[in-house]
Amino acid sequence: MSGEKKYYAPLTPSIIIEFDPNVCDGCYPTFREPLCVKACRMDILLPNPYDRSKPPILIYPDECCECGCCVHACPKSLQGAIKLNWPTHKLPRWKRKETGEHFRVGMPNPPPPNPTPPVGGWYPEVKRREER
Amino acid sequence: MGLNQFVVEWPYPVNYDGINVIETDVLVVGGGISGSWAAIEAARRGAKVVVAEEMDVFSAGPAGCDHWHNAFDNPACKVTPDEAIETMERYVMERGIPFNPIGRYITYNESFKTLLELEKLGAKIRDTEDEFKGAPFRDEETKLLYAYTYDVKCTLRVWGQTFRQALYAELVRLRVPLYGRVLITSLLTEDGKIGGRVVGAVGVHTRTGEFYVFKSKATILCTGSFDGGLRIFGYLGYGFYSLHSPSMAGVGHNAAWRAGAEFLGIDARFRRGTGHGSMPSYATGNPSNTWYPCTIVDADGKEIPWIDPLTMKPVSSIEERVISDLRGYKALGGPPSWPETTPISHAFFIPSVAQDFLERVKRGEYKLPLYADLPGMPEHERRAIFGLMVAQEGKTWIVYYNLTRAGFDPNKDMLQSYWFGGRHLDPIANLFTSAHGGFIHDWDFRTNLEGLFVAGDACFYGLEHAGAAVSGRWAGAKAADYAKSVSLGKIDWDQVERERKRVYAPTAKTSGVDWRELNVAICTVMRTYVNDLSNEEMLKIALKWLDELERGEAEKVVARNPHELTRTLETLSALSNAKLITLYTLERVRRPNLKGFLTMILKSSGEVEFVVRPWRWWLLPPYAPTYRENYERHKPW
Ligand SMILES: Cc1cc2nc3c(=O)[nH]c(=O)nc-3n(C[C@H](O)[C@H](O)[C@H](O)COP(=O)(O)OP(=O)(O)OC[C@H]3O[C@@H](n4cnc5c(N)ncnc54)[C@H](O)[C@@H]3O)c2cc1C
Ligand code: SF4
Ligand code: SF4
Repeated sequence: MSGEKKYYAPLTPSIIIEFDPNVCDGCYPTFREPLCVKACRMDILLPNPYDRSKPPILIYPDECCECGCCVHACPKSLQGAIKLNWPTHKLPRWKRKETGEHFRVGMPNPPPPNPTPPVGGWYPEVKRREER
Repeated sequence: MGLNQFVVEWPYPVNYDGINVIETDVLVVGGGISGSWAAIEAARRGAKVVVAEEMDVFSAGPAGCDHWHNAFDNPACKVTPDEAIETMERYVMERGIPFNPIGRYITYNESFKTLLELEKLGAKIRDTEDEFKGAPFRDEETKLLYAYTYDVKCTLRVWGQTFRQALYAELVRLRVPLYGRVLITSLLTEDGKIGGRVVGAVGVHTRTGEFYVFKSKATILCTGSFDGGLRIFGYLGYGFYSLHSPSMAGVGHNAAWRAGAEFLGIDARFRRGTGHGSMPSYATGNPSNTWYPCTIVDADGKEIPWIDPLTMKPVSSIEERVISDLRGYKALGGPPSWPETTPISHAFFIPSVAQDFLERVKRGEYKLPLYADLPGMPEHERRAIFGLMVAQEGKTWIVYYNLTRAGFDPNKDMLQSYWFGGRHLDPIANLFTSAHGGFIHDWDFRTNLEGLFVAGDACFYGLEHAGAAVSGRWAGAKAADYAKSVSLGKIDWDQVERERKRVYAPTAKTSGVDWRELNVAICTVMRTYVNDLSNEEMLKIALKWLDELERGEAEKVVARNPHELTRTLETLSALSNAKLITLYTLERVRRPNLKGFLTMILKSSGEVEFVVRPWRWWLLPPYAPTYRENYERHKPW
């Protein structure tokens, strides 16, 4: 009986998770499940039901816990396939010490990105047992 | 596909009638840090083990760790595990601070060894690239980096981002079946009786809605911490409490409670949260935890003073914040208030910014807002805080990523800080507290229920990351051994049917309310009545409120797909947990002179029994009289 019934999820306008369709290929056909979908802790990313080679779909954006696991898991994150935009009421601010200028994440006319990678790189290597 | 549509078709096959039955020696409930370690250890011992995890084990639990705590077994550490437990016990007794002596002491003896095990699995724990050569927190020989108290060396700074991957790879290598996206909703007990032997668990697939019945000889509860209904989903209706997983709703806790496990609650009068994170966690400046020992300055650039928590003396330099010897602790003699020689271990004695700060702002001594002065920190500290701790923790990787993409430069910029003296700038924003009510266990991490073990933050008062890893391994070994000595118990299928009926009720409704409405109501009741102003009358009203919700509005929640069903079940658990915490708090209010540990147990009659365990019950018969003897006697290797 349940096999016949169709199920849906509502869509809410949101770019908390924003995909670039020119970069994201839905992880198709490399991975059985898009890696961002697999990583999502709140399970609010759906593999694209209409075309698996297109970006996943964000449902229930209000449930996002901003863990960034989706961005972290994406093989093309550094090329911008997927972004996490913190919700508008949660945008950190800072002040430049020398000049006193104020900035915030997502401001109009933002300063240029700071390209410095983390200590040990964006994705430090996890060595497999066999390799050592 | 753009947003020109209002709905999306559910991509997974839904089958609320489907039932899967799985038999195993050891069932691990929750595949986060403790659960992963438990499964690895049990599998290595030859037990048949499966993991049931609400998320995908791939990213379950907090993704990483920036501080590896309690490594008193590190040969370089200046404090021994025995000295540490003595100090800790004394400190918590004086201050009435909760702690888990069994889990802690075992962790003090196993923390560093477990970290080395993790390194063998491929995790990165050393500065092999010599990026911090010459820094005062680096050991030049081992290339290990220390945190908080550089002369004590019991806490390490690590590349936690690599931890989750290393554990996941090992689970896959060991071919442990991982049942991801399965939310365990109830434990099964022999004859379906509360207090009976735990013989398995049941759960729902969060995508297909199928039902799962696990039959197990031993079950390990590894479901992490929960917040007792104080702050669950964002009550403002937008944004989950930043970085915390849905396990905070406490479905696992609730399952174990309903089975009859002995629970140690929290006195919610001292823990207040709001469910609303007004800033992404770790993405604002602060002087503690990951950001320790960052200098905080006011709007005019004036430094906020630091203070030593024991001596209450001002801490004048950055070096004094991180070297206990410079604060007069005499590399592990006592501070002046503790004249006799007592070893000083780390986290509980580190300096902090002065807590009376708010008053001083009101007096005009300091001007808001505050900033984390990263540019003013020595270069190696700045890189350690932002480039390593924030960037490599795992789940806060995104904080580094988002801030640097937005142009933030730690060499030039001061990140605004939103809290001070235990208060947030936005008066209704979250305070970073967790409830840490949990289950009582013995030196084998067994609960009072036959067949049920517990590990990690589900243990009473929680154990943090290193403790989760250690207790997971320990419990995994003990559960595997136990499973060898027993056969599978008998499942009571009536219990299974009762649970199915309960679980799927929200899917059968065609009108009613969304789980969100119920969630906001629970949070609101808890905030209004269960707080530092609570008295007996207030708590009774809260209980009545929650009870009314349970028998009224909770019955009206509708779930239109398996995802909504999952959130609904979490919210229903949160409601039940909110009652539990309120009940516990009420009992504490009624016993103002309580000495010892107050715990609670659900009896088979449905009554709640309160138990007072004496102080140091963990060293009274049937246990040995000293920490060390118990450790040696129970050590699984
Ligand atoms: C952002 C952040 C940073 C942290 N940094 C540090 C640090 O630097 N050092 C440190 O010591 N600690 C740190 N902690 C705390 C530490 O991560 C936890 O103490 C630790 O993960 C606890 O391990 P655990 O196994 O008990 O629980 P978790 O790792 O949380 O795992 C619990 C798992 O159980 C699953 N689960 C829950 N209920 C169910 C259910 N009913 N059915 C199926 N699955 C279920 C959850 O989905 C989750 O995956 C941090 C925590 C956070 C959130
Ligand atoms: S965003 Fe990245 S991980 Fe997600 S589907 Fe696209 S390429 Fe794969
Ligand atoms: S940030 Fe976390 S919760 Fe939000 S969509 Fe990504 S993985 Fe899911």
